[in-house]
Formats: sequence, C-alpha cells, structure tokens
Amino acid sequence: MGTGNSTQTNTQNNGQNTRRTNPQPQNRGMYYGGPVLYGGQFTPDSNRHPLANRYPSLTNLQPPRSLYLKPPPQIKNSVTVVNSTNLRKDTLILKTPENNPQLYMIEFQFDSTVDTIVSLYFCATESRNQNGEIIFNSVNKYPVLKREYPSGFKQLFSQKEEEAINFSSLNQQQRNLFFFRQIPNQPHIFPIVIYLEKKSEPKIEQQPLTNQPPQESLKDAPKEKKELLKKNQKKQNKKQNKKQNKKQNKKNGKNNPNTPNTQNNENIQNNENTQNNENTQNNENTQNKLEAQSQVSYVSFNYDQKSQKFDLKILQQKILIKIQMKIQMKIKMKIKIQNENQNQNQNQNQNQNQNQIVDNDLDQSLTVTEKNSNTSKESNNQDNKCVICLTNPRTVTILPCRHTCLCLECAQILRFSDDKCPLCRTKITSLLKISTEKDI
Amino acid sequence: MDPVRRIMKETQRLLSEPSPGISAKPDETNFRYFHVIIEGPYQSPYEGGVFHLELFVPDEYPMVPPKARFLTKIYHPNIDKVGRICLNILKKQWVPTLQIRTLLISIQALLAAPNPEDPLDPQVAKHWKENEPEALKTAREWTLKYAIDN
Repeated sequence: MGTGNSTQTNTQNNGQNTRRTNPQPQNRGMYYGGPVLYGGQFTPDSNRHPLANRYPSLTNLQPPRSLYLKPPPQIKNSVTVVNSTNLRKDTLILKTPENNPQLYMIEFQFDSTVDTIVSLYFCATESRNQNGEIIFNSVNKYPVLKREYPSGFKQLFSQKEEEAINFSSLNQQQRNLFFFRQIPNQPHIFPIVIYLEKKSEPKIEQQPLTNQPPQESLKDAPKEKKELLKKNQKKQNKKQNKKQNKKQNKKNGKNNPNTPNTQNNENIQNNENTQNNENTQNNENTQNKLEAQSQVSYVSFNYDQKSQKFDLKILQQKILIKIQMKIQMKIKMKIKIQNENQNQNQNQNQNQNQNQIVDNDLDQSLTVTEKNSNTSKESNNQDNKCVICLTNPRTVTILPCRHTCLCLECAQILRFSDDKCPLCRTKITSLLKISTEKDI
Repeated sequence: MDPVRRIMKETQRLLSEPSPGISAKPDETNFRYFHVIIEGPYQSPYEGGVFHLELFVPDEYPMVPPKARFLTKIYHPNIDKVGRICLNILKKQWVPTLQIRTLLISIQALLAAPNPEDPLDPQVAKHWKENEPEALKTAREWTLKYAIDN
C-alpha cells in the first residue's frame, strides 16, 4: 500500500513540475479541427498554424486551410461568339446510290459567312497539339475528305460515289470502329467528325496588329478580333463594323455561284499517301491560324431496325475559338437528339431560330448557350421567369448542370446560401451570366 | 430579390387556382402565416378527414423551407403527437424552386403513402411495421374521431 501511495504522489509531482516548467500558451482550446469547430476561445490567425503556440519547435507548420469555408462560386460573364460557320443538323443524311445499295454517302448543308474548309474525318480521335489546339487524327489511316468552299448560305456538301463508305469492304476491326465499339485503354474514337474550319488568310497574320490603329485592322481582321475590339470601342464604332461586315458579306455572296464546283474537283484527295502529307500540312496550318474559328460535329451511325437502314446521328457539336492570347475556348453544345421522328417539332423550332439568326446577317453576336436554352425550355416553362423570385427574367446559367433558372440578383443570394442547383440539386461549381441581345 | 413579392405571387395563385383537396389562406394579420386545410387522400385511412395545418413562411424564404405543423391529431408514422412533420423537403432537401403549393402537395402525398422506415413517432412506426392492418384501423378511428368537421 505504502509503495503504491508513494508512486502516485511521485507521478502527481512530476505532472505538476512539468506544468510549471512548460507554461500553457495564451491561446488555449485549439484542437486539430480549427477554431470554429471547437468553440470560440481561439482568435483565428490566418498566418499561424493553431498548434504553433503549443509546439514552437515545429517550424514547418503551415497555416491551416479552412476546409469548411469554401469561397462561394463566382458569377462569370458569358462570352459572345460570332459563329461564322454552322452545320445544319436537320440536313445531315446518309444517302445510298440506286446502283449500289452497299455504299453510303454523307450529305449535309451548311452556312458560312467566310471561306471555309470542310473536312470529314472517319474513325477519328481527338487530341491537342503543342499549342493546345484541338486536332483530329483518323485511326487506321482512313482517308480524310477535305474541300474548300466560299462563303454562302445553304451550301451543299455531298460525298461522291468514289469516296463513299463501303462497309462490306472493311474488315471486322474497321467496322467496329465505325460502330462506336471502343477499344479499351485507347482514346475515344468518333465514327465521323465533320470539321468546318475558317480558311486562314495569311496576309493578315503577317501584319503586326499592335502598330496599326484599331479601325484599320478591323477591315481585314477575322471576326473574333472584331468581336474583341468591338467590346473595347464605343457604340459608334460598332455601327461602322456592322456596315463593313455587311459589305463583306455582299461581296462574298456575289462570288458564290460559279466557284464551288470547280474547287470541289480540285480538292478531292483519295490516296492514303497524300492523306498523310495532308495531315502534317493541316497541323502546320492550324499552328499559324491563331484566330481561326471552327465548328465540329461528332456524328455516329444509327441502325434503324424497322427500315433496316443506317442513319446518322449527331452526338455533339462544338465551337472552337482561338482568341488572340492563344487561349482556346471550348463551348460545348450538348445536343440530345433522340429519334428524329419524336423531336421533329423541336427541330422545326430550332430551324426557325437558326433562320432568324441567319436573317440578321450573322452580324449580331449571339450567345450559344442562350440559343440552346431557349429551344429546350420554351415548351416546358410558359413564363421564363427566375424560379426563385418569380419576377425577373432568367439570365444566369448554373454550371455544370446548365440549368438556366436564375436571375442575377437571386444568383448572388444563392451563391452565398446554398451550393445546390435549385432544379436538380447538383453541386454548383460556377455561375454563368448570359448577356442577351438587349444588354449588348 | 423581393421575398415578399414572391410570397404575394404564390398566395395569389394559391387562392385563384387551388390544388385539389388543398386550401391555404393567409392570416388576416400576418401574410406569412397560412391556415391550411388538407383533405385526406382517396383510398387512405385518412379519407373523408379534414386536416388543419399551420404554415409559417420565414424571413429567409425561399432560401429556407417554410415551417408546417399539423393542428389536427393524426395517427401517422411520420407525424408526431404535436403535429410536427418528418419530410425531407421540409429540411435538407428543400430547394428554392419548391413553393408552398408543392410543399402542401408533398404533405398530401405523405398522407397517402406513409413511410415507417423513416419514422418520427417510433411507437406508431413500430405498430405500422408489425401490424399494418391494425395500424390502418387505428388511423381510421383517429380520423373519424378528430378529423371530421361538424
């Protein structure tokens, strides 16, 4: 018993001694969790780690990152994009010649306000080159179809019989690629990629833009630059630009009717040898074309069991923009196209919208996302009012779910109070303010 | 955003186009306080009953859900003796898209489909799980006793 008591007193003494020798730090009550979680005794100091007082010998302690106080998602402004080329989705069809039903030929219509290069990649993979630009490469060295077109509306692109796809001549592996069956551990392969690219004008690119006054450069500069400059200049200048654009359009339109056929014949390239060269050329070209703008449509085959025929289906359309700063922006247009028959009405709506835009000479800058939202939601929601206040028009899109359901005011409130989309409850990463034509 | 304006709009719509089996009227002195009457859903033990609720719309609405409570006594696994309701959209699952109307429809649906797996009143829920016909019978009795307006 005696020994037991002595040991207890010893330990107690030891404990007291240690306490005396190591005085408690002034700021107490700090545990690992952080000042807010475990009571408010500690005054938070963002420059010091909460345990730095207690363990002064540890110099590596970094101030803690607040895990629970995330910055609210930012509201970003949308960027207006002038789309110089557009593939008409509803006109994309697969044709078979009467003589040979095994051949399939792609045909579609497209609009363009500039000289364009249409390229068809088969079984293509998407990748980025050194400059961060998106390039496509055909798997299995399937020949790339490339044609040049002048500017114009409702231009027809159709494959010729020599270029037609013949499934019977392909081996099993090649056929699999066409039908979207993926090889594991390999990049995604798109059966068909239609690449509408603005033709570059080498003369302009050689001119140093910075030395010139902006108005002069506007005459020749591609539309993206105009778009950027437009924002910087006053409204008066805008009007001048529009006039210039219209003039350009008219000029281009006059040149249209005779040229396309002759150009087509010249530019058809079938041989695999030339195709390789072409690919490298293409890469070089895109490196020079910083301001080039293009639209990409990813297409796949769809087998219709009723008619036992193949059909084409657009999976996605993308607009690629290269702005002066070599920053490449992607605007994805997620288009869910199910059965054409079911969505005929919607397609008609879309066509109408597109036509309206075309009527405006493609001059007015239109926001891509807005175009989408209008088409999909007009039918569902009678009044396009913000779902929270039920009064203001909807101007903010939630990312990543792309629900356009808020006004700017409510978005400001929502981003501090809640991190879920009010429609689908997905976590909000950022908010995108969409500027409508009225705002501009 | 003006929350008062939204409440006014919702009130107008609730009065002009009421949902079937639901009536909600704002208090004369407080536009945030609603007197709600929900009829018991068809083919449920609460059929024929008229259930009174109170609903209060807080200042932070629509960022926070309204508060709702049954005033009429009801035998239901998700509603306790005081009348509090266990419903996800009254708590965490609330999103500002929802409105007073949708909330009341959800409560009506809760009467039609009780959820004893997520109970508020454990005794009722136990009764419900172990002997459902008897529990339904009790619910029916309670309805006849408390929820029939004279």
